[in-house]
Amino acid sequence: MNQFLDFSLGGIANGAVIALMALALVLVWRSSRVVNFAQVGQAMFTTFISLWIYEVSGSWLLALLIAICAGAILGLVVHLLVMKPVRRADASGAIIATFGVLIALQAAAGMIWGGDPKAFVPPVANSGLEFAGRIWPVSWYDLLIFAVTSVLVLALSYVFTRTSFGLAMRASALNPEVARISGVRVSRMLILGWAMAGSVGAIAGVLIAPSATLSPNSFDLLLVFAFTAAVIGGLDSLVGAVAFGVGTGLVLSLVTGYSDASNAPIVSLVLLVVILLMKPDGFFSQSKSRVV
Amino acid sequence: MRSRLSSHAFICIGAWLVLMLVNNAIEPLMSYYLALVAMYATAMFGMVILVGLSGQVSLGNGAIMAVGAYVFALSYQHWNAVISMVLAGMAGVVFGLLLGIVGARLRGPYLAGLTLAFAVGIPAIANRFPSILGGEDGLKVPAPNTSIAEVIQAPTYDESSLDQFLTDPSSAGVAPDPTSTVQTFDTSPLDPGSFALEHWQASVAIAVACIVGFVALNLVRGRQGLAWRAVRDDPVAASVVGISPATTKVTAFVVSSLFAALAGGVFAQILSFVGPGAFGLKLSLALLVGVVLGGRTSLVGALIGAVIVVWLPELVGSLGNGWNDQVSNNVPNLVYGLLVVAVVVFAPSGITGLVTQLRSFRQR
Amino acid sequence: MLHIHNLTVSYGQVVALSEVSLEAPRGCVTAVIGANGAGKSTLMRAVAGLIIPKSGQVTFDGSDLVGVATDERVRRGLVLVPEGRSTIAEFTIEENLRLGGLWRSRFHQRESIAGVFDLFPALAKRHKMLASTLSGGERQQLAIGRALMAEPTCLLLDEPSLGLAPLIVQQILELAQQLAIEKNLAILLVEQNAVTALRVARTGIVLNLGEVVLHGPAQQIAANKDLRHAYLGY
Ligand SMILES: Nc1ncnc2c1ncn2[C@@H]1O[C@H](COP(=O)(O)OP(=O)(O)OP(=O)(O)O)[C@@H](O)[C@H]1O
Ligand SMILES: [Mg+2]
Repeated sequence: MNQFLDFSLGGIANGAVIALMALALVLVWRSSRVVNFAQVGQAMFTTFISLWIYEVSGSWLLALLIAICAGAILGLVVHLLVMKPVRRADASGAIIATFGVLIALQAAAGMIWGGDPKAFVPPVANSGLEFAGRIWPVSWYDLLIFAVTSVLVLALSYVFTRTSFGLAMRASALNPEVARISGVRVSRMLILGWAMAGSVGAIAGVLIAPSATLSPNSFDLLLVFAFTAAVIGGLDSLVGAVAFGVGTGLVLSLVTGYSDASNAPIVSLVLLVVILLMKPDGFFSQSKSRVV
Repeated sequence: MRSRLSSHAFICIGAWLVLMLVNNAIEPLMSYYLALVAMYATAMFGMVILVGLSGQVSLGNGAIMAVGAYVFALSYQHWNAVISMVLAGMAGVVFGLLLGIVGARLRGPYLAGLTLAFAVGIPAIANRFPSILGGEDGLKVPAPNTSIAEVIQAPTYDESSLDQFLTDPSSAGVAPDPTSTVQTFDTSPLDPGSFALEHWQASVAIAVACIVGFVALNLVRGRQGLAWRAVRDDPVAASVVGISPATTKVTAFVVSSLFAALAGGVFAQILSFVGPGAFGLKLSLALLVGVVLGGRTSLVGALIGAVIVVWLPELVGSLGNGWNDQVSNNVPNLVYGLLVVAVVVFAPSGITGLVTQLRSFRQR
Repeated sequence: MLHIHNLTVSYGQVVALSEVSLEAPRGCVTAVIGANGAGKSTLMRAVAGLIIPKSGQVTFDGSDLVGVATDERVRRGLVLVPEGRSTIAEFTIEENLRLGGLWRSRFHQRESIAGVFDLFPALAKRHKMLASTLSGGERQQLAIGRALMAEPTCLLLDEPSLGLAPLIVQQILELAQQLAIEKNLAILLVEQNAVTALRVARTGIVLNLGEVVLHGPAQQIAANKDLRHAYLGY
């Protein structure tokens, strides 16, 4: 039982990062009905930039801020240069283009920073906290991850549900033409959606880097996990992405704990297959009522 | 109907004859590249059907190639190559059916994500059963002891140098080091230019590609090809005229998986080795890149794509020569990524599409 | 005041509108009638800026609208209520309304919402419910209400009566007339339902295959028997 508790607690921090990456996927999906498979590539790239800043300046906060800005800019660039020009009717093309961006970003990162894994030193201790007479599988750094994730999720849901900007954003995603004839600047909303997703992904990248190592390909698995979480959540729902992101983290941590880390992708695949067989559109999806 | 069948047979037999003549005339290293092109073409014929004609963007075909390769390697420990290829193909059909039953229900991005998970998950299974599948070390595929080849000592390649194109950009060699091939010929009793192991491998790959090409031609140009396009463009309209969208989509999965598994069997023979490293996500991406560049809906496009995927790293690799390894190793992938984006944006039907456009432009 | 001058629109090779000219003054309804495929919706969408015309001019309150994006036209007071019930099903009624005037101050938004609820009491009662729960007629009311949230000076109504019961058609068209007079709006009204539309309109045009075949006072069009037989089929 104790072991179960330990594995579960240990999974929550990873789950929080998966949740953030899933959130980034959802943000893009909501604004332009595209799954951005390049999202982890963008995050990997900005995390390298952030690591560089961190090493130069010694300030983690500055590194995070730079990552957020770089993420927004990269998201914007990908949207304007790649996704926007893809013909709307060409659904396959849009998916393929995101993979093209992923390949190019990974190659570019390899060129600039090399293929060898780099260590990203956490700003606060990443070893288990001692409390109530035992060592828990939760570190100060994990707590930092929770804090950042919670603040971000709360802020995003406030923006989306309570502000005019959020209403305009949702309208643009649900029905661009109605949004346009209501006076919403839809193309600006798309740009903002991609930029926001880029920033959220960048934060996820910086947060997870210390728990793994950083190399051009090191986030590939994160993409699979985040996609799994986002899909189970229905791709449309912020709450769903976060809940199932944390859930996916938990499950994977239990799998890793009780068996072996190399089982994680297999479990993720099984999870995805089972969910998609039951609900081809995910759990939180609203697409049934979309056609009205 | 019969005349079309025979004209397709004519094309494929002609191609086979020409390629075999070429194969006999070239250096072993070129023959090795020829084998790779034929292998990629085999798999990409399937991608044209799945991604181009039936409109289902899948990253699973690299994993299916792994299935084919492993089945081939396991079976080859007991039986001969032909039986092993048949078994590999059957395994491909079974996996294609399973993947298709799940995948055909899904819309674009869901399918791409599911097959992405598949591409990442399946190679990991090799590590689950190290006693049978050899774990990270993989399985050896001994070279054939044929009277034609008379190869006494099977050349074994350094695995990393074989990680052609996308299979591992971070590894040292982008292309197989020609010197290692020359070395194999030092150990071979045959003169360079005579029938070496590479020639044998290429002739296997060419034969499989021609047979698969024949099947693909008949399917694509026949009723089935029409059905695939119809379901891709308008599933509702297709079902109204009596084409079942679900069955049609699953068929695309099964056919393309069959081709992928056969390509996997060929790949196992070319590599003389099967391991999880060679069949990662990168291989699936390579297949996708190839068909997109060549032309998503055209079998000729698949051929062009196969050539590009094998040849472009050579070409652009030499561009990066002046730079250090870190840069030059990544040049091909950067070019691929950018090319894919450019093609999707500016020429969605790839190189073959551009050629057709150019031709109709001239005629006007 | 809306001026349309020699407007030509084509979809690829197909010319959907050719050299259409029209004026919609404030304070009255101007009707656009014609059979299916005559180009009525095309005209409205081009005026709203959703389609870029091949040639011709649209002037609104004296300024040329060429190159002005749809959202900017809306902010200037030129608002389209498109064909079909174009509400966002996943939004509540209140959210749908707010969407129509997001750039305006909270105070003005609240004032306009109160105005819309006065006009359509059925919406007021259910303002927290999803738009997908409304009936067709109520959804049309919601779409018109959303357009009014922008405080328009010119309203483009594309077949507001589509699929509605005759009594409700009557109500909606009379509402259009009332809005034009009370709020001094310029209303361009597209209708299949020529008799009712011409009753509330001051002037009108008849479109056939993208061309204006008649332009004049509403009664005159209604009285033209040949034309009715030829293009309107009654
Ligand atoms: N997006 C489009 N692409 C190509 N052709 C179109 C498009 N929209 C309309 N058309 C064509 O333009 C012509 C005019 O269409 P439009 O929708 O303006 O007709 P309408 O008068 O509104 O008809 P209805 O009364 O049925 O609404 C038709 O022939 C139609 O086929
Ligand atoms: Mg119309």
